[in-house]
Amino acid sequence: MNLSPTEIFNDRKIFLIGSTGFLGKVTLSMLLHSFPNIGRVYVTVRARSQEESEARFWNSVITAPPFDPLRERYGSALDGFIRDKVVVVGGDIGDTNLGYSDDEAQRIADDVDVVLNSAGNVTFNPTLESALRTNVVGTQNVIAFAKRMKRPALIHVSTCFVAGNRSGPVWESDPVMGYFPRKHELEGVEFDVEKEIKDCAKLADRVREEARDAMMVAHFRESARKRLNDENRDADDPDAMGLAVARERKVWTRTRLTELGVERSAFWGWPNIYTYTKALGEQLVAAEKGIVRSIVRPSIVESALAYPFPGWNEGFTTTAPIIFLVLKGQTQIPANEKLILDITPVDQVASVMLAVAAQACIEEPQLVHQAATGDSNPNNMDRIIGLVGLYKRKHFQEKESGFKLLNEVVARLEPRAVSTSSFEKLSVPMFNSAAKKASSLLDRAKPRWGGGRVVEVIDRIKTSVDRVEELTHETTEAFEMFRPFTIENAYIFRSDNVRALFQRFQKDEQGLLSWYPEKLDWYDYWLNIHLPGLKKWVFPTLEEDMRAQPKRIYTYRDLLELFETSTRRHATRVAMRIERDGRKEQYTYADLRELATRAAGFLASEGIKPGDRVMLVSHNAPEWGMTYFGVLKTGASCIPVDPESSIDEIINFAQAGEAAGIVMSEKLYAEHSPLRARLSEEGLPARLWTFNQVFALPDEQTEDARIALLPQRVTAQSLASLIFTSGTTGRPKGVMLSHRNLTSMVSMLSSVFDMSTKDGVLSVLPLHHTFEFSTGFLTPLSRGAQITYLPELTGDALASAIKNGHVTGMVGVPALWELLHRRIKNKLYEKSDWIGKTADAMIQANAWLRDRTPLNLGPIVFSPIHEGLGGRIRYFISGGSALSEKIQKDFQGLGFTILEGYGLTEASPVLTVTRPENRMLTGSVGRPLPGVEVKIADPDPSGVGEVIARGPNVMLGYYSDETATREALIERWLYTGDLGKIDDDGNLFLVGRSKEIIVDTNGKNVYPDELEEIYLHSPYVKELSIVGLPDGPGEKVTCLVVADDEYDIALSRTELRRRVEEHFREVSASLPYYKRVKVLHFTDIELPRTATRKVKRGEVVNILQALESNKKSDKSTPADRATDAESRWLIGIVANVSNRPRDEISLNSHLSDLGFDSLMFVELATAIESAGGSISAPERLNEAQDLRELASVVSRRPGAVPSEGPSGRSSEPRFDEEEIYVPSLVSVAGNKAGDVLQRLFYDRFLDTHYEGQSNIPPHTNFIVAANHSSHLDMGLTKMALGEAGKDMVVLAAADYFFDTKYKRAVMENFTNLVPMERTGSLRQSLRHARSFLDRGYNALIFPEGTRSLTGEMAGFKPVIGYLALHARVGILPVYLHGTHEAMPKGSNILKSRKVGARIGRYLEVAELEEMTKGMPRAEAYRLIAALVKHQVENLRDNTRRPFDAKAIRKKWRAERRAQLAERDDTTVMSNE
Amino acid sequence: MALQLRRKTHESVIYIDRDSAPRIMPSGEDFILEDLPIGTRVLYPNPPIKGLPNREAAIRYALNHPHGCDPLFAQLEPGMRVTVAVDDISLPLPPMATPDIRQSVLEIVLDMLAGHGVDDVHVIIANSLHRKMTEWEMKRMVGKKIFDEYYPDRYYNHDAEWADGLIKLGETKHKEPLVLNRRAAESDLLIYVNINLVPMDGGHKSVAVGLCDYESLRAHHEPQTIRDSDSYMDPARSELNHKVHRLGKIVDEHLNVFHIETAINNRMYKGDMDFLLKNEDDFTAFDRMKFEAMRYTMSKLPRPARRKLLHSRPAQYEMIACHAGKTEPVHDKIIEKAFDQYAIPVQGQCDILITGIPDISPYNVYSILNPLLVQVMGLGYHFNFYRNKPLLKKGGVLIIHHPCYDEFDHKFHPSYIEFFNRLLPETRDAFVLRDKYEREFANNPSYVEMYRRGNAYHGAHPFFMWYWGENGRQHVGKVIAAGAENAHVPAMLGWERADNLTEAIAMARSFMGSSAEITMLHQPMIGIADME
Repeated sequence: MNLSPTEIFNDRKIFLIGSTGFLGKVTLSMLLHSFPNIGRVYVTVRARSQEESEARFWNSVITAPPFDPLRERYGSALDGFIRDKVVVVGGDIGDTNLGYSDDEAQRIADDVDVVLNSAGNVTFNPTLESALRTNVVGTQNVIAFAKRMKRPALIHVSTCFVAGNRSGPVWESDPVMGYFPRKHELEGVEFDVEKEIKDCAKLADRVREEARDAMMVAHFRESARKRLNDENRDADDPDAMGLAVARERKVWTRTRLTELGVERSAFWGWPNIYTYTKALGEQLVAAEKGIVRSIVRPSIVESALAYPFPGWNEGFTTTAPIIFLVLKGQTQIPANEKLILDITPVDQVASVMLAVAAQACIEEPQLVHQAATGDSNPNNMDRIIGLVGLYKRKHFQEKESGFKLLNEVVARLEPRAVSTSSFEKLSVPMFNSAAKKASSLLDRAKPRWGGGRVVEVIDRIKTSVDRVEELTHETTEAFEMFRPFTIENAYIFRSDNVRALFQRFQKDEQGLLSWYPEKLDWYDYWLNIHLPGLKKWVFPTLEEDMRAQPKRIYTYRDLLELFETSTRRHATRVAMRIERDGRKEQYTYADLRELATRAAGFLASEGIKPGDRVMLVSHNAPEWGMTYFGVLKTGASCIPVDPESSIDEIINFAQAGEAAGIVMSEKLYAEHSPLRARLSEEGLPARLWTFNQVFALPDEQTEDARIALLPQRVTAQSLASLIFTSGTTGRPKGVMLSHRNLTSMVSMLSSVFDMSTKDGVLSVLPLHHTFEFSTGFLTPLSRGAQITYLPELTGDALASAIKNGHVTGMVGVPALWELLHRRIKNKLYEKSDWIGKTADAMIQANAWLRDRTPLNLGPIVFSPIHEGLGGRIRYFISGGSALSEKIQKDFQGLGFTILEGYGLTEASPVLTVTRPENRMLTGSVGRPLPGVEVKIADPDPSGVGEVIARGPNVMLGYYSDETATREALIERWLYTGDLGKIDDDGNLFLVGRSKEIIVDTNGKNVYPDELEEIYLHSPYVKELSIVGLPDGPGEKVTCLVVADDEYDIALSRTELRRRVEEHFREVSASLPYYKRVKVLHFTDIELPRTATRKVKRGEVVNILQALESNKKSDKSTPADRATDAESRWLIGIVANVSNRPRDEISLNSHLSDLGFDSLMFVELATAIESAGGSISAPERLNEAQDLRELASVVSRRPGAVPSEGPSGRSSEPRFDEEEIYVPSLVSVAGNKAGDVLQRLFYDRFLDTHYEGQSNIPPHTNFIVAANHSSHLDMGLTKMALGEAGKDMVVLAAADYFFDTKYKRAVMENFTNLVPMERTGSLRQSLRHARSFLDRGYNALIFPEGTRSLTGEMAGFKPVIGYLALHARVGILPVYLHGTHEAMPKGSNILKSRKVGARIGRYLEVAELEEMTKGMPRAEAYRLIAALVKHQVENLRDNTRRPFDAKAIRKKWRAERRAQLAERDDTTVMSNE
Repeated sequence: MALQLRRKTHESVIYIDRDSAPRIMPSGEDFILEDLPIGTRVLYPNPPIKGLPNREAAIRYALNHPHGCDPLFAQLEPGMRVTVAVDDISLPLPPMATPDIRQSVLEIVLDMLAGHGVDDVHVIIANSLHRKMTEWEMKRMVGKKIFDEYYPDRYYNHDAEWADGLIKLGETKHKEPLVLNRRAAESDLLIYVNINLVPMDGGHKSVAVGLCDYESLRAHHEPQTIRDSDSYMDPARSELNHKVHRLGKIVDEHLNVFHIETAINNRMYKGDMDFLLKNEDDFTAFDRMKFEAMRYTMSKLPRPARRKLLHSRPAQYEMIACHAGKTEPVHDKIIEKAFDQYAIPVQGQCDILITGIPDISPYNVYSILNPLLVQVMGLGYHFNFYRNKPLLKKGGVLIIHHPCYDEFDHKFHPSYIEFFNRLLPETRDAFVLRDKYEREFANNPSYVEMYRRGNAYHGAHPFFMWYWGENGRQHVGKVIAAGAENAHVPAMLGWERADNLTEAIAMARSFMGSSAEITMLHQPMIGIADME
C-alpha cells in the first residue's frame, strides 16, 4: 500500500522529545515545513519552569537557522503559525512522567498520536549515571508515557553504533533483545537489560559508599585544602572547606563512575558509554511488544544536504574535530584506509524519522530502521582523507591573510592515513611526550624564589609549552576516541527497511521526505556542502574552545568574603604603604582587618545599619580602603565620591544617594568647613565624621560591644558601591554595583593579570574611580599584593615611589603615562642628543623585535631605566581614555608592557583588556574579559555599531532611576553608548562614542548636559553648547556661546562678550578643574538644531574646530605679541613649563591649548615662585584660562631677572652643537689637579682669612648661601669650608657657565657646578639641585642670582627657601669680603690679594620650618631668603641684629594691598 | 599620622607564609638556605641609617663642641703629657674598610695635639686581656702615616700583665679594684677613641676595662654579674654596666678623660654581598645569582680558604654620629643613636629561637671560630640581643646552626684549647670553673708569656667567654646545634645535636610542643629586639 505522509500527518498530534538538539531542530522544522497541515506538535524543552521552557524555545530554538525555510515562507506570520502548531511543554525525560503531573501527562498523552524521542546524551564517555539517566531511565519514562496513549506509538532514535566492536554487515533484522557485541566470544552468557540497569545502579551506590570511606574523606579534604589555597581562599573557613570537600567528592565520584562505565561497556564489547547505554535503551523499547514502536538508528549525522539549506551543521559531530585538526596542520591521520566511515546528512535522517513516524501513525513499522549510507554509497577513510586534503589545499590557496608563500606550502601538506604505531611514534603523541618533558624540565629550572625576571621568562615559555602539551593531549585523545570508528570496526550498516519504507511513498510526495543516499556525490558533498558548512557553523566555536582558556579564578561570594579571606591568608604581609610627614607607614593585612573592623564598629555604634549608605570623601590613602570595608562590614553600602567635589556636589550626592553619613579625611574636612552647617541647612540626615574619629582607638570593651553590632553576612546581590557619574546640579546618576559585580570583576581581572603576593601596585588614580578601585585596589588586595599610596601626586613623589615602593604594576590614565614618558625621554636627551637619538633607534628596534618574536631586549638594553623604576615593573595598565600610539610604542620598545583596557562604571568597570603578550596590539582595547560577552549591536556594513556587553560585572541599575536603567540595560545587555567593531580575533576597536561624554586626558568624564545647565545661567548668554575637542589623547571641554545682544542693547559687542567671559570665569571657579570650560568661542549665528530642537553637537564640533584653526592662524599677529618685559618674563616661564617654543606663545594663548593639566599647574606655580614671581591669589592660579588671566594673578617682584635670550624652548634645539666628550680618566685627573691648584692659589697666593669655621655643621649636609660679587667667590667659599667644601656642588647660572659646548665640557667634567636656570621655569634645575642635596652633598648657592656690579648685596631670591624646605636641609650663611676688590665683575685681572670669608650661625631646617609654619609657600621661601640675607648682612657688619619676621611680613602685606589697589584702579579706569 | 593599632608589626619583622622564599643562614664559613615553618617570625636588622656625609667634619665638630668639658683644643697646653687610647680589633666586626674611623679621629686629634705643642703623645690600643694586635693590623687600623710616626715606641698594645706599666687607682665601695695602664693614668689628658657597634660598647667600659689588668677585670667579668644582667646589651639593665660605671667614677676622679665616641650604622656589606642584608622575598634575579655564585665558589674551596675569603671582606659601616667630651653624656648620646639604628620593636617572646652562627665574632678576627666562641656567639651575643625581656621564653630552645668543628687557633687561643679539653669534661659550672681554675690559667706563665710577647688571648679569657654565655645558659631550656659535624663538641658544651635545621626544629617542637612559636634572627643581625 502506498503511503501518503501528507494525509497521514493531517491533523495528527506529535510529541517530539529532543527538539533542542541538532537532529531535533531539523526534524521539527521539516515536519512543520513539509506538513503544514499537521494538527499539533508537542515540544519538550527542558527548563526550570513552563515560562522558562517557552522562553528557551522562542529564543534559542525557533530563532535557529533550521527554521529559515519557515521564516522565508511565513515571514512575520511565522510566530502565529508556530503558536498555532506548536505547544511547548516543559518536561524532563529523566523524571517520572517526564516531569509532568499525572493529569498533565495523561492529558497530553490522550491528545498524541505518536511520540518521537530523539533525546539522548551523545557525549562518548559521560559519567555512567548521567548517560543512564537520559539514555536508559529516560527511555523507560518515555515508554511509560507512551503507554498512556490511546494507541501507544513510539519512535525511538538510537544509533547504528550500538553494534559495538565488531566488523561486517549490520542488519536491521539482527536481534535487538539480549544483544551485546561480545556475545559470540562469551558463550553462554545472557545479557538482560533489566538486570544490567539494576547492576549499574548498584555500581553507582557502591561508588558513593566508597566516597564516604574515611580514607577517601581524608583524601578529599587534602585536595580541598590544596584547591582552596590555589584559589586564594581561606582553607580554615569551615563553610568553604565543607563545600570544597563536597566538590572533591563529587568530582571523584563522577570520574570513578566514568571509569567504571568505560570498563563495563568495554567488557560487553561497546566502544564507549554512549553506545552501551543507547543499546540498553533500544532493548527496553524492543521489549515493549504491546505498543507500536520502532527504532531509528542513524549512522554519523552530519551537515544537511538540502534542508534547511545545504551545509547546515551544529555541534561537534564526529568528523569536525578531525577535520579541524587537519586544517590546523595535522597531516598524519591514524586510519584504516579501507574502512567505511558511514556518514548521513541530517536532513536524510530527519526524513527517515518522520517517515517512520508517519507509518507508525497508521500501522506497525519494522522494529529497526538504519539511516545509513554505507551499504548503498560507501565512503571509505581513504577517500574521506583525500577529500579533506583537497579542501585543505583549496582553503589555504584561497586564504588571504598570512604569508602567501607559507599558505602555498601549507596547502600542499595534505593529510594522509598512517598506521597507529607510526602515528604514535612520529606524530602528536610524540610531541605530547616531548612537551611534557620540556614542561617538567622548565619546572625544575624555574627558581622557586629570588628569580625576578627569570621566573617571568620561564613562566612565559612554560605557558607556551603547556599549551602545546594540552593541545597535543586533546588531539591524541580525539584520535583515540574515534579509533573504534576509523580504525577498528569496519561496519556496513544495512538500510533495507528504510529503502523499503520510502519506496512505499507516493511519487508526488517523495520530495517532502527524501531518502536518496545512493545518489549522493561525495566529492560534491564534502567539498561544497559539508566542509564549508563546518567552516561556517562549527569551526568558529571549535576554534574558541581550542583557544587557551584563561586561568579560572574563584569568584568570592561577596566583598566581605574577599576581605576576610585575604586579610586572614596574608595577615602578616604588608598590604598598604604610604610615606606621610616624612614617616614611612605600612599596614599589614592584619592591620587592615583591625582598622576596617574598628571603622565598622564605629559606624555601627553611630547607628549605621544594613541597607544604609555612607559617603566616603578622601584622597587616596590607606584610610580610604579601611573605611570602605568598614562601611561594608556594617552591611551598608558605600558612596565613594571624588575628593575634588565641591560642597554643592557633596550635598547633592548625599541627597540623591540618601546617605546616612559622610566620612571625610581631615584635610578635606578642613577645606570643606561649611559642609556640616550646609547639611543641616538642607535638612539632610547625613552625619559627618572624619578619619580621626572613625579610627580612634577605643578601649577593648567598647570595641567588642561595637563589633557585636555588626551583621554576620551580606548577600551577594546587595549593593556595595553607589557611584555617581555626574552631578553638581539636578539629579545625578548613581550606578549601583553589587558585591557580586565587584567580586566578579576581581576574578576576571585576576585571570588576566596574574598577581601574587610578590606584586605591588602604586595607586595613583583616585579611588572613587571604579577603574582604580577594581584594578588597583580590590584585585591586588585579593591576591595578597602591596599597595603604595602617594601623599601627593608630583613627578618626584611618583618616581621615588615607583623606585622604592615594591611596585610591579601601576594603573593609570594617559596623562600619567605621558608624564612618565616625558621624564624618561628628557633623561635620555639630557645626557646628550646622540644618546637620545640612539635610544630612540633602539626603542624602535626592540618594538619591532617584540612584535615579531618572543624576545624582549628592553630590560637589558634599557636596564638603567628599568632599575630607575625599581626594576620590578611587570606591566602598566592604562584606561580612562585612549592612549597615544606613540607612547604605547615607546613603552613597548623600552621593554615595558603597557596594557589598555576599556570599560565604564556601569560594568564595574572593565569590559575588555589587551593581554600581557610580547606583541603590541595597536589601536585595540583588547578582548573581553573572561566571562564578559561583548558584541556589536546592529553593525553597519563595516561592522561598526554600538558596543553592548553582558556579564556578571554589569551593574544592578541606576539608583532610583528605573527609566535610565531600562534604557541602559536591555535583556541584561548593557548598552555602552560607544561605537566599535570587533575583529576576527575578538579584539574590540573603538571608533567613537554615541553618548556625548567628554573624556579628558586624565580619563575624567565630563557630561556636557550637566555643564550646559550650569553655564547657561546668565542673562548675557542666549544659548550655548558644550562639546569635547580633541586634545592629545583626550578631549578638552569647549563651549560655543551665542551671546544675548538684546538683553542690554547699550552694551557693545566687545563688552557683552567680556561679561559672558566674566560669567564663565565665575562659574568655572566653582567647578573642579576638569569640568571647567577650557576654550570659549562666540558665534552670532544660532546653534544648529535638529527638528526636535536638540543641538546638533556634531555640527557644533565642526564650527568650533573652524574657529580654533582661525584662532591659531592669527595667534601670532604682532598686536597680540607681548612686548613688555613682564609679559616676556611670564611667557618664558610658561614656555618652559609647557615645553613649547616661546614664539608659539602669546598672551592670548590658552593654557589648555598648551596642554596644561593639574600637574602642570603645580609645576607652573613652583616655576613662577622660583623665578622671583609672586602669585597674589594662588587659589586663582589654575582658574586662569589664558596667559593674560595668568598675568593678572602673577606679579614679578623688583629684582627678578628679566627673561631674555635662551629661556624657553626656542624653535631650534637648545643644544645644537655636538657635546665634547671628556674621558673619565681625564676628568678625574683634572679635578685632582684643579683641587691642588686651587688650594695653592687661595692658601699661598692670596692673603686669605677665614672666620667662624666652627659653625660648619658636621652632622648634616647643608646649603651654603653667600653674597656674590666675583668669580673668586666660589673657590673662596670652598676653601673656607675645608672638609665640608670637598665635593660641594655649586649651583651656577646655566646661561653663563653652560652656554657653549666648551664651557659645558669644562664645567661638567672638571667642576662641581650644577647648571641652574636663572629665569623661567626653574623646576628642572631645582630638581637637579635637590637630587644632590638628597644624596647628602653640600650645595653652594649665591642667592642674589648674579655677581653684584658694585659689591653691594642685592636681594636674595626665594629659591634658597624653596631648596631648604623641600630638601629639608639647613642653610649656612657666609659673607665673602675682599673679592669684589680683588676681581670685580667685568675684570679678569687680580687687583688685590686680601680676601676672606666669615661663616655665620648655621640655620637649622627645624628653625626655618618653625619660622614659616602655616605660611603660604611662596611667602615662606621669601621669608627664608630674607632671613639668610639678614644673617649675611650681620656677618658683613659684624652685628647681631635680630631678625623680625613679623615686621617683614607686615611690610609685605602692606605692599601687596597697595599693588592690588593700584591694579583695581587701573581696571576701573579701563572699564570707564 | 600613622593609625594606632592594638598590635603593630615593625617592618623589620617578617613572618614566613606559604609563599615565602627560604632564608639564608650563615653556618660558620658556609651560607645555607632553609625553608622555615610557616608562621616563623624572622627578625631583620633595621635598614642602615645614612652615614654622615663628611666624617672628618663631624669629628672636628665633636672635638670643638664637647659635652661637659672644654673643647679639646682648649685643654691642650704645650709640653703636656697626653695618651690616646683606641679600641682594639674586636671592634667593629669584621674589620672595617680603610680608612678606619680610628684613623680619621687620630689624624685630627694628633694634628691638633701637634698644633698645640703637645709632643708627649702615646697611642695605646685598649685591648685589655684580648690578644695584642699584630703589626700589620696596627698599621691597617691607623694608616701608614701615624703608624710610621708612632710605632713602636709611641703606638703599642696595652699590656695587662706588665706590672711596671700598671698602677692601682683604688677600689669601689664594693671592693672592686681598679688597676690601670700607668701611662694612661699618669697622663695629663687621656683621650679615648671608641667605636660603638653594639650598645654594650663604649662609656666607662672603654677605659676601665680596655686599659685594666686581670684582677680588675675579674671583679666584674664573672658569672654572677652576667646572670644579673638582663641583658648586657641593655645598659640600663646590665649589672656589668653598673659595675663598670662604678669603676668609671674612679677613673673620672683620677684622670682627665676626653672621650670620643662614634656610632656606626649596620651596613656590614655593600655591593657584591649586599644581598645578605635583604629580605629574601625581595631578591632580584641578580641578587639570587650573586648568592648562588658565592655559594658555588665557597663550595669549591677548602674551609681555610673560605675563612680567609670571608675575613678579607671588610665591613662597609658608616659613621652616623660622633660625640666627644665627658664619658657619661657622650655615651648617652651615642647609645641613643645606636638604639635608633638597632631597636626593633617586637611583641611576644618565642619558644624556639633560631640563629645561624657566622664566622665572625669579636674574638676570632683572622682566625678560627672555635667551639667556645660558637658558644659565646649563640648563648652570649645572639641570645642577648634584646631589651626589656629575652626574645626567647624562659626554658625555650635555642637552635644554633654551625658545624661546631673541633678546631682552635694555637697562636691566638692557646688557653682555650686547655679549657675546652681539660676543664669542660669536668664541669660546665661557671662558678666552679671560676673558683677552681681561673687564676691557675691567668697565672700560667706560658699563657702570660704568650699574651705578652705573642698575640694570644689572656689565659683567663676562655673563662670570660664561658661566663658570657651564663645568662643565656640559665635561661634556655635546651640548645640544639644544627648542622654540627661531630657529636662531641655539642656534647662538651652541653648541647644537643641535629643533622640539619629541620631535624633541630622537630626536636625543639617535641620539647616545646607542636604549636611552639619560632623566631629566627636573620644574620648579620646587628639589632636589638626591643621587647614590649
